[in-house]
Order: sequence, then structure tokens, then C-alpha cells
Amino acid sequence: MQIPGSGILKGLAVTARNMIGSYFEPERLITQQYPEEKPKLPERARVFPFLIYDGSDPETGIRCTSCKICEKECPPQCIYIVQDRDQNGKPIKRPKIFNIDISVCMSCGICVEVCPFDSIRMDTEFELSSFDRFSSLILDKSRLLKPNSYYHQIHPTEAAQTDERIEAERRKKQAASAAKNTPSKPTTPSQPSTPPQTPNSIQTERPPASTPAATS
Amino acid sequence: MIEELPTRLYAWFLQLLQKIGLPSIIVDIVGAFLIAISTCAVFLALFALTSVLERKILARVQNRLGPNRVGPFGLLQPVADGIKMLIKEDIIPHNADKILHFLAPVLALIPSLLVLAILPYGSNLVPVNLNSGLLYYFAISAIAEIAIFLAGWAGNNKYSVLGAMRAIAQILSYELPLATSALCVALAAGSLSLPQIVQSQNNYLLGLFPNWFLFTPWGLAAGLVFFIAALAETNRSPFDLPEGESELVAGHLTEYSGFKYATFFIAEYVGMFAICALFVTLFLGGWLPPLPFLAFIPSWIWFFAKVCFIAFVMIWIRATLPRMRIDHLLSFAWKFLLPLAFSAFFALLLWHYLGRNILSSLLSFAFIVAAYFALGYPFTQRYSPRKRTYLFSE
Amino acid sequence: MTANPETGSPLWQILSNWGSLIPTILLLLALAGFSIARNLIRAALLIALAFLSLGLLFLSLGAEFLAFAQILVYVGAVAMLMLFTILLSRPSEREHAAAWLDGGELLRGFLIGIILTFILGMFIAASPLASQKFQNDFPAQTSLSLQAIGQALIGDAAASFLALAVLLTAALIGAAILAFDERP
Repeated sequence: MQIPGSGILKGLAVTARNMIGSYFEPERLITQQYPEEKPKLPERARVFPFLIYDGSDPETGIRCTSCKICEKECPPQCIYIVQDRDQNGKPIKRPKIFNIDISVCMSCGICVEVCPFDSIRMDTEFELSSFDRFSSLILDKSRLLKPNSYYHQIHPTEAAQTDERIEAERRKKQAASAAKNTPSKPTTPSQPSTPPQTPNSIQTERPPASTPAATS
Repeated sequence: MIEELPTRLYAWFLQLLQKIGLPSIIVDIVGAFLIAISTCAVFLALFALTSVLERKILARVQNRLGPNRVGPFGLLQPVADGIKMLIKEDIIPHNADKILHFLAPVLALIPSLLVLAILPYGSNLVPVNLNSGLLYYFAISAIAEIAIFLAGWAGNNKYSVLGAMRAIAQILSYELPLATSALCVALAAGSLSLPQIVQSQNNYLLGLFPNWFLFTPWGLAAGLVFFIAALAETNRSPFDLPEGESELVAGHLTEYSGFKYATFFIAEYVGMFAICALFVTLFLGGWLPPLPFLAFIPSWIWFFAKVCFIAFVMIWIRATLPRMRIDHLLSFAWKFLLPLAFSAFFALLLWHYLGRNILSSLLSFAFIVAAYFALGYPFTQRYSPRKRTYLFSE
Repeated sequence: MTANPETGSPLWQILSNWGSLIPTILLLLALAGFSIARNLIRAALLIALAFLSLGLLFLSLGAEFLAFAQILVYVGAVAMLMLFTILLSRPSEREHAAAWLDGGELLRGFLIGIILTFILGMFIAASPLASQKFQNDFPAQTSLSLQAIGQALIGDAAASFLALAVLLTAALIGAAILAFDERP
């Protein structure tokens, strides 16, 4: 026969074990003290998009060609791009304005999927609250641009895969152009002297993995 | 020296007042107020401390850290809570009975502070030594029921009235086992005066084992009944369904906000400490040390240590048991606690009239165990719902 | 440490001479409010206040045990029972919007009250309590020990004690019947 009240004693033992255990076994306390202790995010964590540039100069190293695919695909339409022009008024493959309204962005990551130049990726920075309702929540180019090394830092596996793919494509293009000695596409007006490469001339400035930028 | 510290401070202060040249009637009044205020202050400080320590303990049980933001280790949390409660809007419903709505929290707080007057805090620390102190306790705590009813009724809200009815049904049904088990102690001690009840537990078996009433065979059952009924009387978990905030929108407290709401909580916690103190007085030897050679520690430290231990057990139980359903609650009171209290009463008679020796103790212990198992048996059976029959389907 | 002032101190003198004044006034006010209140709940709360102040009156007269028993039984049990009865029974149709009784009802109640007082007074005057012999036999005691009260309750006064209990039960059942308003 079951002793009346034995279940209560059993329950009390469990809670006592947990209470005393929480003082002696630190692995029991899984609470992260957030502002002091930064959360360790999983590698595939994503918050808002950012733009990658190669090398050290964000203006010349920017991968984005202002093709505006992301702007068109963005479901909440939070991306705004204006293409840059040179002195003659000819459009160049570089954004003049690239704004993302993160108060609208829903972190879907579609811009990342559609970008043909691997220039937009998801960031892990989430402490973006501000006292200002409007202007500080619209990220402009200066706040969006981050070096490739930063991408390697936050998403190492994904960044390595991206770099590998770009490198492989570049080699293939190089090999093809060396064989045919003709450009696969008409070259861009701003980069007439470069050998035929990837669709984006600026993209070629990206160093292959570890070597410094070779072309201009 | 430390033992007599409070009394000496008190006497020194009164002498100081007399030296200044105040008339003796004013000195008397000041002395009376001084005792009242210091007693209330101690228990309100205990309330403030418990409100944060309880959350800490609950957090540790659930492997969390608990409040740790305000002050060192979060110890200033009650200050923050108090300020929050004070600056909140005090909402009075449009159709409420405004006088009674105001009166209810006051009437809830006053009895819980009044009962502190008769508790023996130390060997010579009894604010008021009443001949019928135990009766005083139950009489004053009866006023708190009116406060609960008022709180439910004054808001002019059917949910709060229903909550108040449930609360009163619970408190009334648990008052019987509570009073019956306290009556056992009064009979065994031969007095209703609380200091005298403590004195009657003041000897040690073989010079070592404390002769507290909890360690007598009938006292074990009476103490268990008293403790469980005390949990229910003070609305502590698992009997906290009068203000089951998740089911009943806080029962009789539905229409209260701001500091009136806080007042109810102060009353509840002070009442909890008062009933812990009463349990310690009746069953755990009050201010007596557990072992005779530990008497060098002042008696009031022993008393408050025991009270805090009992309060900790209450919090521990809150961390363990889920809330009961109202029908389970009432059937537990009437089918288990009250008969057990009566069998403790009978065991006390056996123990007393067979001469308070080992034989009578064994006999009454056997009786208590048999009663416990017989009464507890139906509660160990697995609950199987009756087969439902439907009138209009099938 | 004890708050009981010594019996000779001036505070004690004032308390013992004038201490029963406040409970008496409170009792009379509560009873007056009880008799003219139309709202049943308010009336029940006022009678609870009257019970409480009666207990305080006993306390101020030095009858400690009686005072606490009065508060415990009447405030804790009887008044709660009244409130429960009122809440569980349906509201009466005779209940008007007015909070207090009007003049005619007051007059009728007053007359009935006078008749009741007269009858009760006659009984009290005729009872042995009022006779000189009783007062000589049982001189007023300042403090009656609990044991003596207990002995009296289960000894000499047991029959009247039980009779009172039965009377109280009957009164409560009567109150429930009065408050209960059956509707189809």
C-alpha cells in the first residue's frame, strides 16, 4: 500500500535537490546575464542584412553592383538603391545610395538568396534599438558596409563556402577567357583595361582568399 | 546581556524620557507605542526581506538566479517594489462601494498586525501577556475574514464576489482543524496563555531531547494538521486558490490596484509570519533552544530562527506543489484534516490519562498512525472519473 | 517587557474609567445603523461591527475570555454565516433603491423595538440576576480564571449552555428562512 503523503515528500526532495544543486553545480544555472554577458549565438543566427566589401576600402571594394534584384525581391520593400554615376552621367555598377529600413525588414533573408554577387549577407548584430524612431533605424551604406573578414568572423563556414565558390568561378572564367581570349560579356565602361572576368568588374578586385588585391 | 538587550534598551529609553521631565502618563503612552511600533517594524522588515528571498528561493528551485538587479544580490528589490506600488494608479471602480473599498485593505492589515501583540518572542519579550492569548489569536484572525468579504463585495464585481466566497469557504473550513489542533496543545499545557504554553515545553528528556509538543505522538498529528491548515489560512500555495491569479483574476483582489493591493500582500505575509510564530510557540517550544547547552544564544534569536525556518518550509512547499482545486481542497479539509485533528485530540487523551509515560506514548502513537493510514487511504487511490452519460447525444 | 501599565499608573486609571466609553458609542451607532439600513449586506456588516464593539466593551470591563469568545464566535462565525446566507439567497423583490428605511417603516420598527425592550426588561428585572441575594452570593470578581469558566460551562451551567446553543441554531435557521425568497 502506498503511504499517504509519500508523493509530497518525494516532490519536496526533488525541489530541495534542485535548490541546493543550483548552488554547487554551475551547469544547472543556464541563465545568461545578458547585458554583462553577451549571448553566444549559433553560427547560423541572422538578424538584418549587411553589405560585404573586399579589401580595406569600402568604396572601392564594395561587391554590390546596384543590380537592384534585392530591392525588387524584398517582400516588405525595405531596400532602397540608387545607382551611382560618373562625371559624364554614365551609370556605374556601384550603388550611390543603399538604404535598408530595419524597422520594416523582417529578416527573411531573400535578399541574400537572390544576390548574384554574394554582396549582401545576414548580420548577427541585434542591439539596434535607439532613441530615435526614424533616421537611426534606416541603415545607410556607411553602416551597412562591413569587410569580408567580419563575415568570416560571424559566419565562418558560410563565408568560406562563399569564398570558395567565387574563387572557383573566377578561375573558370579566367581559364575560359584565356582559351578564347574574348570577353564573355561586354566590359564595363569604367574598367576598360581589365581582362574579362566575372560579370562584375569591381568584383574582380576581391583578392583570391589570402592574397592582396592585385588588379585595379 | 544580548538576551536582555531589547528590554534594557526599552527601560533605558523610558528612563531617559522621565529624566527629561515628561509626565508619567506620556511616558506610559510612548512606551506602549514604542513596543507596538518596534514589533510591527520587525515583522514588516521580515515581510520586505521575505518578498525578495522567496523569489530567490523559488528561482533556485527552478535553476534560475532570481532578482539580482536592484542593490547587492537584489536585496533592495522590496524598495523598488514599494515605490512601484506607491506610484501606480489607484483605481476605484465606478459602481464600487467607495467606503468599503477603502476599508477592506485596512481591515485586512489591522488584524494581522494585532495578533503580533501576544506572541512570546523571548523568555522576557512578551508585548502583552494575555491569559487567553490563544483565543485572542483566533478571535482577531476571524476579523480578517470580514476584510476578505469586504474586498470581494466592495468592488461590485461578480468575479471578486465569487473569489471572496471561495476564500471564505476555504478559511472557514480550515479554521476548524486549526483550532482543534491548537486546542490539543492548550489542553496538554493546561493554559491558553502562550508564554505558559512555551514554559510547559521547557524540559529535556534525558537532558538532551527537547520535550516539545511536536515530538509527542499526538503532537505530531496535531502539528501536521496545524501546519497544513496554517498554509490554507494564509492562502499559501498549494491552497492559494482564493487569489489564483491564473484562473480567477486574483479572486477578491480583482478590483484592487496600487498600494491597496500591496496592503493586502503585506497583510498576507505578516499573517504568514504570525502563524509561523504561533506554530513555533505551540509545537516547537517557542524561544526554547533545541538542546539545553545551547541556551547561551539569546532566546529571541532562537525564536526568530525557528520562525524563519518554518517560513522557509512554507516557501519550499510553494515551490513544490501545484495549486489545488476547490472541491479537492474542501474535501481534504473535511475528510482528512478534521478527523485527523480529532484523532490527535483522542490520542492526547490516551497519552494524558495513561500517565504520559512510554507505554501511553506508544499506544497513542499507534493510534495516530492507524488513524493517519485509515484517513489517508482514500486519497492514495487513483482518481477514476465516472463514466459520462450524455442526455442528448448517442 | 510588557505593555500592561501598572494598575496604579495614571494611564491605567484613565483606561479603566473611560475605556468603555468608545466601544459603547460604537456599539450604539452600529446598532442604529443596522436597524435603519436597507441594504442587507451593509446591515450585516454593521451588525458585525456591533458584535466587535460589544467584544471591546467586554474587554474594557475586564472580561478578557468573554470578549475574545464573543469576537471569535459572533464576528468570525455568526456574521460570516449571515453574509453567506444573504449572498446565497436571491435578492428580495421588496428591496428598493433607497439605502435607508423611510419614516413609516422607522416608526413601526421603533414601536416594535420598544415593546421588545419592555418585555426583555421585565424578564431581566424578574430574573435572580437582578436580586440583591444573587449579588451577595456572587460578588463581582475582577478576574475570573479560565478554569472556573470551564468548570461552570460543563458543570452547573451545562443545561443553559446547551439550551442557548439550540436557541442560536434556531435563530440562524430562522434568519436563513427570512432572507430566503423563493421564486418559481
